[in-house]
Amino acid sequence: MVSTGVPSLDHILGDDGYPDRSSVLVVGPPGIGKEVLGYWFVRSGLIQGDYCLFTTHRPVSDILRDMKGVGISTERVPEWISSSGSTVRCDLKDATSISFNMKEAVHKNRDRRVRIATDILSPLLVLNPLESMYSYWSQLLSDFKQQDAVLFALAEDGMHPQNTLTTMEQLFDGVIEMKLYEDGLAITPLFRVKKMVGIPPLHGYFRFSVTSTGMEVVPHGR
Amino acid sequence: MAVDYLDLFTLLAILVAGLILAFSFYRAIEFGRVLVAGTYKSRAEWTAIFLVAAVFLLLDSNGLVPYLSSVDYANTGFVLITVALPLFVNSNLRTAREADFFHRDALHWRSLWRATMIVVLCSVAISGVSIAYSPEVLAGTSSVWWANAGYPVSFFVLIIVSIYGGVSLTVAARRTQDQTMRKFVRMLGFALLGLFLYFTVWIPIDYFAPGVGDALSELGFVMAAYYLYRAVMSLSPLGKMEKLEKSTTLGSTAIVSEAST
Repeated sequence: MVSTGVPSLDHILGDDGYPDRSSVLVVGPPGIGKEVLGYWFVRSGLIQGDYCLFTTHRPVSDILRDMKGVGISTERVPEWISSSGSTVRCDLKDATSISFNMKEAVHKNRDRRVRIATDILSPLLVLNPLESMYSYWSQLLSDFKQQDAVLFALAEDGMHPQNTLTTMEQLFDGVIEMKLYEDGLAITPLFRVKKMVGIPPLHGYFRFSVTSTGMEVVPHGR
Repeated sequence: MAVDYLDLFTLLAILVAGLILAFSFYRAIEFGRVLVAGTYKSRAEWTAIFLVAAVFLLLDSNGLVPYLSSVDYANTGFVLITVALPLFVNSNLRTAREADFFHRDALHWRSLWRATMIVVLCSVAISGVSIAYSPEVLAGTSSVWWANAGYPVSFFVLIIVSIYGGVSLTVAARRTQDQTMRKFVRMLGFALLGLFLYFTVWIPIDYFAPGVGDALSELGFVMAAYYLYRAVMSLSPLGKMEKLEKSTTLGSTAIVSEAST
């Protein structure tokens, strides 16, 4: 199993984290904190000596600024495939080169455990037909499964038709949904584990909060 | 004692608009509290500050806030909105740029916004100095030429920045796939229309029925406040907790009944 980097989430997922050789999709609206889960996932990998790859449509400087903003040290950084600030560039208009570069980076590190975090799923879904993206991701995920790799992908809620996300969710071993809820006068951020291969179904929702010392997840209930 | 229905109507409209704005402010603060990404958090916070400026504008345009000086254009609401508007627009454009997968700079706002802010602050300072030096500029009777020229500066800067910001925001929103951002900008457009009505509708009506236009124009502010509330509620998609709990309960019931059979 691979630690999520968030102890309370590891506990929810059976004290171990994400399953080995799995792919996890986190769906939520922009700004809610999906990226933070990805940062902690990568940070945990760097501490444990895993090979970590971050594929993003954003500049590296933006990611580093965000990581610092949520209290994550940037002394150790992953390898980047990004729109700027990295040796390997992420060109959203060339999905083939992105998958080639990702596979190449992973193959070069086949003797280590690999963690991949990415936020390119939503832009690629917007720029390409669903059918082609379905086979694109299906192939990419099965390729990573040949090795000791865990892929963590983010998808933006509110940017795609619901059937698009539902279709993509089928490809992933785990799906986590994050959303804001109007609770009387207050607003409460909740998440739920829609599915996670290897663990019994988790019913119910969890509250989460992000502080400068980490992320806290607790069961939601009244 | 005769009741002045027009005054009563005006007061009621101010009260309704004020309450909507106060609630919107609370919601914006709540969004700022729960959103995690810095850009989105700061956008919610600047929205809250903009709403405070809107409340001041509402109150002092109805003579309910002490003037910074004895003149209309130097009052608190006008100064606050002149400074808060570009900052509010900037925070939204930063968010739209982040939501755009290609991170495009709409109409060079990013490159020009510091210069824009300097122009805004200078215009407020020039207007303030002009009015303080020669208060007669408002009546158009000042003999000091530079004070006459300086007084309307911030008013024109506000109009230009509003148009530039509004167009940039529209362009940025059209580029992003984020539906809530598009809705947010649409709601801001309606709020702007409400403010436009607030500032203009009294002119033709008062010509025919003195006093009536003034009262009716308050409805423009109520409209602006309502759409600002809708804009705030579009900062991020929101689910309803009651619906969620109902569905969770139903789900549990279904599981229990399934188990019992």
